[in-house]
Amino acid sequence: MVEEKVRNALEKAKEKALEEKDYIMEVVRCLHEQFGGYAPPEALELAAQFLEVSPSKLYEIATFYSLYTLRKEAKHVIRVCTSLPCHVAGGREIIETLKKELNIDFGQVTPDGMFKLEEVGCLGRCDTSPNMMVDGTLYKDLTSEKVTAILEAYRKGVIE
Amino acid sequence: MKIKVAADPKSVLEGSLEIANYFGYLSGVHHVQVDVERDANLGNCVGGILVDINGEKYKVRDKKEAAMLFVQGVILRKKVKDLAVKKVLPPEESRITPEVLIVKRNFGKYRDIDGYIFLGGYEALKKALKMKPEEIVEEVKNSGLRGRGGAGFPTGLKWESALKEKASEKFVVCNADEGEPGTFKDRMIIEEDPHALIEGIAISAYTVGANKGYIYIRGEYSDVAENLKRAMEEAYDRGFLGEDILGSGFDFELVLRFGGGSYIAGEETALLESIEGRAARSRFKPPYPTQKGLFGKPTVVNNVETLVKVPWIILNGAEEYRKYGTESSPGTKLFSICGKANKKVVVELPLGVTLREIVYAYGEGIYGEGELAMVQTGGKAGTFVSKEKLDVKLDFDAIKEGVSLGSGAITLIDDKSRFLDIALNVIEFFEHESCGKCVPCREGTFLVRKIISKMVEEGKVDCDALQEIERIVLIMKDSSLCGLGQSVHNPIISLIRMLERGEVA
Repeated sequence: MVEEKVRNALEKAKEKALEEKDYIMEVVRCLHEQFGGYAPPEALELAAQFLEVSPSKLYEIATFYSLYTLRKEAKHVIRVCTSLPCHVAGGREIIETLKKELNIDFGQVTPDGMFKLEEVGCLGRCDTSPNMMVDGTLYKDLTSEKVTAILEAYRKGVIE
Repeated sequence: MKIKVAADPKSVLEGSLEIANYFGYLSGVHHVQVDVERDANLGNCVGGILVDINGEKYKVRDKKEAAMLFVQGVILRKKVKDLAVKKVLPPEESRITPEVLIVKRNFGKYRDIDGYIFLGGYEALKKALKMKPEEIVEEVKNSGLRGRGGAGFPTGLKWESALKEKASEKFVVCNADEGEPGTFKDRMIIEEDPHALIEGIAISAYTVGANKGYIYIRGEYSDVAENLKRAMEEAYDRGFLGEDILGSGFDFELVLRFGGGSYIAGEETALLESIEGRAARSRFKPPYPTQKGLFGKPTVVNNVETLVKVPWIILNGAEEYRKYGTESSPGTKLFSICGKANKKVVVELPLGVTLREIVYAYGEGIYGEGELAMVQTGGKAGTFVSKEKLDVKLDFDAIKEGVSLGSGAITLIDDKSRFLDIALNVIEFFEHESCGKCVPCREGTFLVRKIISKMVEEGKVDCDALQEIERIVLIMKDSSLCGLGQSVHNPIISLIRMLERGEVA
């Protein structure tokens, strides 16, 4: 099972290779796709074995970059922008609402394992600030009411 | 009864004609006989449209306020205090620099490669492939094009130094990591004109003699990248990428790489580290990437906006490009207006345009109850500029007057924002994004954040602590390895100066 996914990820990542081993970043990205949002240690080690590189090379990527993670920590990851363009355009209230609704702080997971709340530097969508991203989906022009409705939709499974 | 609505260019840009029409509509609805006059010599005001009723001057920001003014001022014939304007600016100040569409030339005009070719796409590549690389370098050098990612390095010089390197293999890299908060121009380009980017990259590769290229796009743009992927496939199918491009004998392979969510990956050497499969940590310079870059080979790294300008320059010539902008900063620049702006848009203006024009004519001032307090230019690593300094001309030399051009981000901030709130927001970002490789940046951002956090907890500003912060950020400026640590002083010190002058509380 794990091996199959790792092989799939490697194959996909390698499609776009120009140089030998210039696709290691892509391997971690494709592992995330295969495992649904995370790259477990056993998969990283197996991939390193196939690539004939040290496992530390893959761990380095999986732990340095903020979009990558070793564990599935919550069903949905909420990334909310805390940068000035969002901050001054109502972002403060959005963050307050998120923290209050979820009853957690940045970096924490709700007790039911439903949401993890993370802050990000900028999503590059400052024309529709304030913004947040849940898993891969962007939510823009946010208001406190919209945030509450979005969380509710995820809780009820209206949005998967 | 007569209503005069400002109709000078600035007010028209801000939608004054629509307001004038709306007054006409209201007079019909309410059956009140009113004469609505569009007056180009009325003058204008900041953050709204100037309206004159029986000699009383009012500021109207939207139709809702126009309706309120009509009911109270015209029907009930009262003075409307809430909308009374504080200061009327004379019409002379209303000269507006019009947009110049070089990068935005194809925005919204095509859907696929056929549309792009119909618009004259890939003609520049055809022309370039018949030129000698040295001739292209000369043309780009003459145009005075400077890097649009923030550093402003002359593009022609960069290409020339890579061209001169003797190597078995060379690379070109397009930096589409756009992580500078407040910047979304490169995303717009990728969404609206991906083929011009591909064409620009292909020309840069031919010029420096590279057969392989990467586009490094930030992980947060994976949805946007779909458009680019499709465009690349089309370009391969039509022979604008791949082997023997247009029968010239020139081969060029271009692939896409995704970032993993890291601000520092936008720094060129950190970006190369990332493509090589490591954490994005900056390298020591020299050697510069043009000497020893990706996999130790000569590499040219260019920003998206820079590359999109190249096909235009090849087709229209350096002289034509130099007609826009200033002597030291020729051409146009994309500005992304955001924050509390009424209109959050990307505009393309000649360098040397004033911040006032960008803020009021294109960003249409700020919305909400507050007043404009300051603008941050150039992204998070850029400077805070007080509203007293809005007439500074924006170009690469503006930094001498304490205004950085940077990536072209223009963030409008209202007077509800407090010094400590902004300072903490800025330093938390840099502490989080510092890669940790060099001590001054890693420890400096940590120390400054600690000092500011303490002030936030105590709820008051401590002057001695501010001096200590200045000392730390200046040490970081002199001793940090890369642009991240070297530029933290920009926002921090400019913000402290504003506090000292009482321009922020």
